[in-house]
Amino acid sequence: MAELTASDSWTGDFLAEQGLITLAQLNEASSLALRWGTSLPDVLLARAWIDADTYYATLAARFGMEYVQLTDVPPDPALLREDEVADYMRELTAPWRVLDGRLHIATARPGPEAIVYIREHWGPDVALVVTTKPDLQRAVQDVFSERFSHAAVFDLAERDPVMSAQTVFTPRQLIAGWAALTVTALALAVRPVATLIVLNLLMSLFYLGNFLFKAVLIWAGGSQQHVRAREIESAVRMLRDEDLPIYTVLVPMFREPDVLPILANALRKLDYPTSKLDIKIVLEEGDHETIDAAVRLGLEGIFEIIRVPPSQPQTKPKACNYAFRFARGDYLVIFDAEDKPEPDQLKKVVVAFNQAPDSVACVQCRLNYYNRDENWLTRMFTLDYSLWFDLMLPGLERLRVPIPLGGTSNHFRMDVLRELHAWDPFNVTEDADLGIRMTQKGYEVRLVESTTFEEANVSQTNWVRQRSRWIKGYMQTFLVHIRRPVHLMRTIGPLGVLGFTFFIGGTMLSGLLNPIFWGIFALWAVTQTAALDNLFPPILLYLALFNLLAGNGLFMFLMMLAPFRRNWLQLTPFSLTVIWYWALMSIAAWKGAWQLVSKPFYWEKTNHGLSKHTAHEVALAVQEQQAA
Amino acid sequence: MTRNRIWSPLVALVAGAALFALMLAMRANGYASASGLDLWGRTLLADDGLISVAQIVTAYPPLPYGGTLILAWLFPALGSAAPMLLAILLAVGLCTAWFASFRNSGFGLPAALLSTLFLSANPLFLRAVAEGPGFVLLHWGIWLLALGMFQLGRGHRVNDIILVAIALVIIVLSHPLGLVLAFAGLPFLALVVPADRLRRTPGAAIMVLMFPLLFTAASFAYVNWIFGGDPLHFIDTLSREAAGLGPARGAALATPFDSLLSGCRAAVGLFVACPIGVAMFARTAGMPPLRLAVLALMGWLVAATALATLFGLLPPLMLVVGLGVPFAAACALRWPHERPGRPGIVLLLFAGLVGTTILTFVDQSSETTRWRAAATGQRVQPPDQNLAALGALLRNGGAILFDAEAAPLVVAARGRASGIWSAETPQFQLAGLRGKSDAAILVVRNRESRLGSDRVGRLFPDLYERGRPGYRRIYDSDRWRAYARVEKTGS
Repeated sequence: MAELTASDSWTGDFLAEQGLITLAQLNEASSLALRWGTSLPDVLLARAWIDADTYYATLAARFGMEYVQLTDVPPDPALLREDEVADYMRELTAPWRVLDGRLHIATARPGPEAIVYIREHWGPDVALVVTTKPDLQRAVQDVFSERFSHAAVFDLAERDPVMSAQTVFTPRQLIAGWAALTVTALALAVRPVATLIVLNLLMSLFYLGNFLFKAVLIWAGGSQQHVRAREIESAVRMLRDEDLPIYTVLVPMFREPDVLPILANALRKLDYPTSKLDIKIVLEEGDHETIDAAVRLGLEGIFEIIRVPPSQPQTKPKACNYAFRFARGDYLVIFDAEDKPEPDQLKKVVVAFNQAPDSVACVQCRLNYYNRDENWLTRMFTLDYSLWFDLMLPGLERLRVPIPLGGTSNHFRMDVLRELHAWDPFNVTEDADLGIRMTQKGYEVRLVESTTFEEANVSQTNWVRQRSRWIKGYMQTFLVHIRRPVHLMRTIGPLGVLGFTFFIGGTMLSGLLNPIFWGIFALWAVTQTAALDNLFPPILLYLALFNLLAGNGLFMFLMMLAPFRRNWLQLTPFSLTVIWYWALMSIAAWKGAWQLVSKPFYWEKTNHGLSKHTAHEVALAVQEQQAA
Repeated sequence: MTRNRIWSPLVALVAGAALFALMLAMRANGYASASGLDLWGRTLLADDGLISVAQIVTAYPPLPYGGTLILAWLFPALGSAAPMLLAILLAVGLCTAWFASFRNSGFGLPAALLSTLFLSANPLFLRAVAEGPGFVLLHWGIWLLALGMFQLGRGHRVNDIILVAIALVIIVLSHPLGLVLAFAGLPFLALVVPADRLRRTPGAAIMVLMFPLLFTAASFAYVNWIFGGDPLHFIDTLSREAAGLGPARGAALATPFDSLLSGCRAAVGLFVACPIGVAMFARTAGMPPLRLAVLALMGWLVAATALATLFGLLPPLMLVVGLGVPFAAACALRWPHERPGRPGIVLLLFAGLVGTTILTFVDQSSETTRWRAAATGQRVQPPDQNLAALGALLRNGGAILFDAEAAPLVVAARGRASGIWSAETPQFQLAGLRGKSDAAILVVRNRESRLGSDRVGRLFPDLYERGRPGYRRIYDSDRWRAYARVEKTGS
């Protein structure tokens, strides 16, 4: 049976002796601290059994130190160093001021461990003051707020501009696009039929390549999956808590106060020592309703709230770029507010990193939905995600094709994330872009069989909004990474380029092209007109017919396969209705294409919390939290 | 993988050389299968544009036909060897796949080589290769299907569903017998679907497996509807030759008792060809997924034999029993708990080889008799001597009004399609409009024959019996007659 640290035992006894907490509270807090793997004061503060000011003031008095409120007397910015921010956050200790020629260090965890650390770091001739944990975190954030805020937006654009989507179309791309359009227009004027045939042929070949490539991906992804999953599971059983590294969990949120309990509950259930978790809830400074909700939930004892200063573009990657600079973990993961990661996810990822070569910089876990049976859209979305995460991404991994990361549950090595200047705030699918960028920089992405369950969109308009952002982001990603085709070929190889073209390019292009071909087919089917005959010489006609039949059949079949592994075959019949889903995808693709030109950096926000299941999940989470 | 890098190409090379030498030797003895000739005849017609593209895309079975067409188009110098070469290439691929799979699943080199040898040198397999690409594709289909069925109940991998689903499509598109096989296989699929999936969502589980087949069938019917005006248009192009049932003239000879006897022989023959299947069933007691898979596969093949017998579509014994060879290969691969030497497996495959060699002499069908004779160095006659004679007669002529699609064997025997005015040509259509023809030769089928009138016969209903003014009869048989225009002398 694990025991409290000497410092925690002493603190608990002291607070009880002072009458600041009851013995019952001490007992319960002790058992919770052991269960959560966190410190006793964190539990007492999280449960609001003791007021933060009282606690820290009492502690300061006990040690004969001064208690300072950093909100009133902030630290001297000149004393704080940017490269030590992670240490300040980890040790909850930072230089405060020089008074009477003596350096004063502020700490939020007074005790023997802190004193040893301070002496090692700043020498013996320093004075100590006590402050609260939130105050210290906030003070450090405030000092670096402006610099980090600027870096969050412009770091990548300034240091590696060719990899940034800040410039949507480079001059070279504009000239090439203009030249292609001019040549096509001229050709249409001079030889209209021949030109249309060539265009038709190119599109048909693209379709053929697209569905063949995806079939190959799924075949490749299905092989040997179970073997790896079993290897990782047995390695997880061998892990000891003391060997686990500190893990940073970033949860960027924006106006989503309602789903906070789900997240808090899911994170508490993670099978990872809480003392080694560095959970940061990343909120926009102006998002008072979510900040208030977080404070009301009493999260601050265990979770840290990072307030992102207002600036443009107001995107999730910018918020993450800001917050990750305060991270103190060796690894970092991003979860969305309504995410429910499987409890063993972090341990599986640690094992995967341990087993992988140094070149592996990111581990992507699977995403799926907990409200899959809610309506037609959630069922289709579940099929779509199962196909993507359970079948296609493993195929990309096996064929060593760059993997576009999914929105959440991607786990990074912190050193590489820093080296790559993290996410591109101008790219609205910053995760997909980062995955490709990593591969271009010589790093690899691996997959791990652990699922994070999310809320599937229940509304078609909301879905189109979300998907249009994704497709616009894919367009941005495609445009960024084909700026240097030779470099791309050299870094990711011909198969990588092919995969990138079909997987990123194909996903957006098929959405754009589908309505054109559907329209032609519908026109022909209804009118039986011979006007189109010239555009479809025999070989092209058979190719188009093959694409129409084999392509659609294959994609439906792949959709049917998607839920097989999870034994969600009740979703299979819905694959037959996928045509309308593709139609929605095309609407989203055209919307995304229009926004790429009109509002390239606009973050089309997805509304969460619309699902009935989410309301139920929230209620459940609150109930469990109260029972805990 | 490394261990296969050298040996697999070597096995492919040796198998290719051996099969090629054997087929050439048989060809030198005059052997060409009826289905091979039928395929080549249709290829010649398509190459010369005498069949419309619409007829090509609606032809059944599309895989061997399409494959031969592409091969002949890519390498015109191959000539009539194209179907044979395609069959050899497919067979070599299958032998190599067997070897590579054995090695990948831990067979030692001698065991893998011997197992591959006993499978690929099996007379039933060689007979299938000699029959043409359609049957070899069927072997491919059954191999893939068996692999998928063995694994499906155990692994829950989507790859195994893909294998089963795609194998069913290959089987159906390769050969008319495949239609019977697919139909007979449906109930047995339920035996291999993982129990938890079947319990929870039986309909959906079967739907996943069957969807590609159903979608392919619907697509093929759709293509037939667009290009042929009827979803079942392809049935018109089917012939006994294409179905590997031997030349049409022998079709009426079998009595119901003969058919029943053939069916029983075929069903028993499957066990003779695949003793490893029986042994595996006994060996897998206590291993339900494997045992059910063996049961499903054996039951499926026997049921297909029964159905084919019932519909009068049972091919010669050796061909239908030969389907047990890829099944035996799959059993060898999925045999549970065996040491790398695998002496038991090798012995069982050898027993299958011995059994099928004996079986070779039981099959008295005309096609197998010809094959056996040619394989043992004897000279053999063409499968349909009447049509071969007609083809030889037409070899040098031109302007021949002939519904060549009704008898592609004649085109194959003639060696070329040029000079034929087939049903798709303007000359044929003009003849239909004018009610007369300027053709130098008219070829017509007897409307009293089993297959009824051909399109020339429908154009000139009394041509077979009475001929045409100005034409004299130059060829006569109970099925076909040919008339040549009498050239006017200058007096």
